[in-house]
Amino acid sequence: MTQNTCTIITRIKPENLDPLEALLASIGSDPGAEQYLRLRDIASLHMAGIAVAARDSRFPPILIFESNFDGPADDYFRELVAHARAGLDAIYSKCEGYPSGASRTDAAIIAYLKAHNAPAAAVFVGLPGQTVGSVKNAIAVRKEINRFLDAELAAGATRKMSARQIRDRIMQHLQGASPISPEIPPVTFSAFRWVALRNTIVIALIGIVLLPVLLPMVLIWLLMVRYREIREENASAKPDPPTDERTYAVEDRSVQFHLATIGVIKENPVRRYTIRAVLALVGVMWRHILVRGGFGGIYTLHFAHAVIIDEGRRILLLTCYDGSALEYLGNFTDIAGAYINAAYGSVEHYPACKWLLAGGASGLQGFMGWSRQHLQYTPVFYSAYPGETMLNLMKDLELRDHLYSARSESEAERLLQLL
Amino acid sequence: MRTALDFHDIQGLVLNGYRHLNHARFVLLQIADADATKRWLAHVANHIGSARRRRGEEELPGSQINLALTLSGLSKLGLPQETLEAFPREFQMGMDAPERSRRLGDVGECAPERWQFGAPTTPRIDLLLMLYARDAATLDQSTHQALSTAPSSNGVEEVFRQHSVRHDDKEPFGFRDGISQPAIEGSGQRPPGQAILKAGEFILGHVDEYGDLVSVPSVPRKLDPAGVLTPDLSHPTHSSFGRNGSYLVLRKLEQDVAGFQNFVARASRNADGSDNPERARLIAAKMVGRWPSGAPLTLAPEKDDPELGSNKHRNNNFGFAVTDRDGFACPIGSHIRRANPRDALVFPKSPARALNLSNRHRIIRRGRPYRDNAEQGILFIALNASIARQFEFIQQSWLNNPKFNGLYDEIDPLSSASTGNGMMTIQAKPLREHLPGLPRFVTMRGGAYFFMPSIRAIKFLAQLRQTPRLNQISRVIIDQG
Repeated sequence: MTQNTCTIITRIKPENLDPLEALLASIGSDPGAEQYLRLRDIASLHMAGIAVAARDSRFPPILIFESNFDGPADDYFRELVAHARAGLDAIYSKCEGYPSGASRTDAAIIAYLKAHNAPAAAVFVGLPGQTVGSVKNAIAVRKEINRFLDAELAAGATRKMSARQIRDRIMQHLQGASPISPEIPPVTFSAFRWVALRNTIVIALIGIVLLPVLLPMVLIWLLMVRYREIREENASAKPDPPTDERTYAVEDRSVQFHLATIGVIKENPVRRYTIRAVLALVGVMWRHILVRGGFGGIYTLHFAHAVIIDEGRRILLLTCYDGSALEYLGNFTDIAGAYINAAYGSVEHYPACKWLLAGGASGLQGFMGWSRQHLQYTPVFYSAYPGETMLNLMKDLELRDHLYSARSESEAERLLQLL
Repeated sequence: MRTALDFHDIQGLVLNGYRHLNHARFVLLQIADADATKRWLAHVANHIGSARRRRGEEELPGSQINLALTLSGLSKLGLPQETLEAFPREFQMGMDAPERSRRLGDVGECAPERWQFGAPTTPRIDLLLMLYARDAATLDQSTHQALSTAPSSNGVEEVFRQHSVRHDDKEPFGFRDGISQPAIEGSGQRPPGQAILKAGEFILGHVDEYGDLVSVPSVPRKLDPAGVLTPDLSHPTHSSFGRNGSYLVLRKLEQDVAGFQNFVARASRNADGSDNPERARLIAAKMVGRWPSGAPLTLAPEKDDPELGSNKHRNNNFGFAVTDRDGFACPIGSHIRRANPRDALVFPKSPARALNLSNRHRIIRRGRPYRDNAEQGILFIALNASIARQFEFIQQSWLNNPKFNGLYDEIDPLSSASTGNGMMTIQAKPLREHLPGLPRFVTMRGGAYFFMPSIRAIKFLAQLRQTPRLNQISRVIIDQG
């Protein structure tokens, strides 16, 4: 099943900003268990985050509610309203345009949410095709195997066993006394290796066919971008608001978290068209090539998507990641700066880029400072599997999905090394 | 760009662990009278050990003094607000701030409320005096000279004192310590098999491993009429206060030696309940990543190799990626592999890129063992140019991270503040082994973040005329000496 994303962006009534932030902070203390949103009851929801962007006086205060879920958006909206109606009422009654009185029906609320759902310009899914149920099953299978093997080891039952014999013991257990059974999906995560290869070849072939037409255009475009980069080196844009200290307080509290970053797009046609073109290209890459868990070599990103907001004046990047915020942001400098430069090189105050991809995030101090300053306060983050990293999940899926096929000694050895 | 280091301006501890000076005393001071403290600093500055290139340990003096200050100390000595605000956020907050505690894992038994010094409830620390000497008599003499018989006449009052005597190279758990140290470009150090790191990783005002010349705190030139400081090239109206300084992390870590020995004895017992000392040694080594001699498991996976352990050309000349990527010799979650993963990270997969990333999170360690009656442990000291990116990153993302390098739910078996039910995976073929029930072996007893200024900067502080009014604060003097 395909994962989808939605980003509901609504204007906050200015007089309700403080009460709304207080309400969100309360929900954020345990978004799964609290009685407002009851996100844990939505079986298709992987991760969700609610951020407030209200510190830039050039723009009205907005509420950003991001969700990553299985299946069509219409189904998710119905589930959301069915389970989270009390929370939606409490939150969105503090925003503009939310239905009130007798007109506040489930259908009207769904219509409101859909009307404010901003389309994503690019979407990255770390584990494509894996439903919440599939992910949770893989986690449970791994835990059960570990529990079983620890007991076997303590009893000396696996002593002098080969890898294949141990694997056979595991299979016997899973097919017998185990309370958990592997539920292998029709399309496994491993199968996306071939999807990525196929898509890469197809896209490369299309690129080769179009090269004679595209190459001159791309070169001219790059020269125009470089010209802007040089011109803008000493340009002074209006300063962005200072770092929101609350962003430090909410991060690094659990294995996973959510970042919402907003940048103001430079007021120049070259920049405006560049960012849209880049996001279109990036969108193709994220959706069709980066389908093996890695994001440009970074394996901590579960979901990401970029949205152009405010009539094209700002870009919003939403990411669900694992690890510390410092490590996560640092990874872009250390490993995948070009990916982030392509999107943010056309944004005000971003560290200077060269030829769009170089520079920028490659300098830690400048990139970290810019990122920090542009992070939005995210009081609510929910995950259906909050204690797991992307690397954990990739191993869990590989373990579960190869239990049946790992029949040789070397295959069984590789399987056991995942534990 | 190659770094030229001003050895006369850099405090000696940055480039020299004073391993020939086995006696040390660490005195935490509070400034009561800033003017008197400045007069004292002017005197002490002439005795601060610099990092002059050593030509053999026998030529080094029999004692050394180094000095560092907290933000509070810098403020009391009159450093202007704009300069104080230019210091990094983590240094300004201090180690005992809740946000730092969360990142460092200083919670529960290790929480600041339980510290002997450096906590919000203990007297504020302004200054750290580090004294090193060949013998106890020289150390006493050096301490006396530095502080005089009446500390209050120097404008400082003693908050805490820690004495240290090092009998050998081993830390209290019994393992050779301090083997792996980064080498600094321009220092003349050439450790076998180790990358030489940019000076900016440890000394402010120099290019770092990112190729950045990170800006350092500076002061308006008018505050430095005598031109003690060097000009700040990025601010023509300012002089560089931070250049050639370093950030110093101090943590008093109590080690439960009996608890460690009992745990490995229990975990290594044979099926019939009898002791298995050989396996106990192996389990302890697996937790550390080295044998007691210092021999790394990656090079000596089966048994200790004292010759290897003491051979400085070999005992740190290894990586994990080529010979031990899966951790069958040195477990992925072992202490030394977490503290410095070298060339073996799950990502980036390339050993060269992984090593490059690891090298952006190194610290210089200058810890010393201590023993206070029944309590023993290490006075951990780290030097780096960015506390957040180096020391705190190692602590948070590597040592305390239950998900380090693809692992699941385990933290550093040796140094992390386990809640008493920790676990460690020992990778093996065909099946890994789990070490369950890991208790906490190390407890945080106190600490603080300091700035270790250059010798020029100390002289500048000593002559700084602008002095804020000090509040009269009653203090408790705790002498642990």
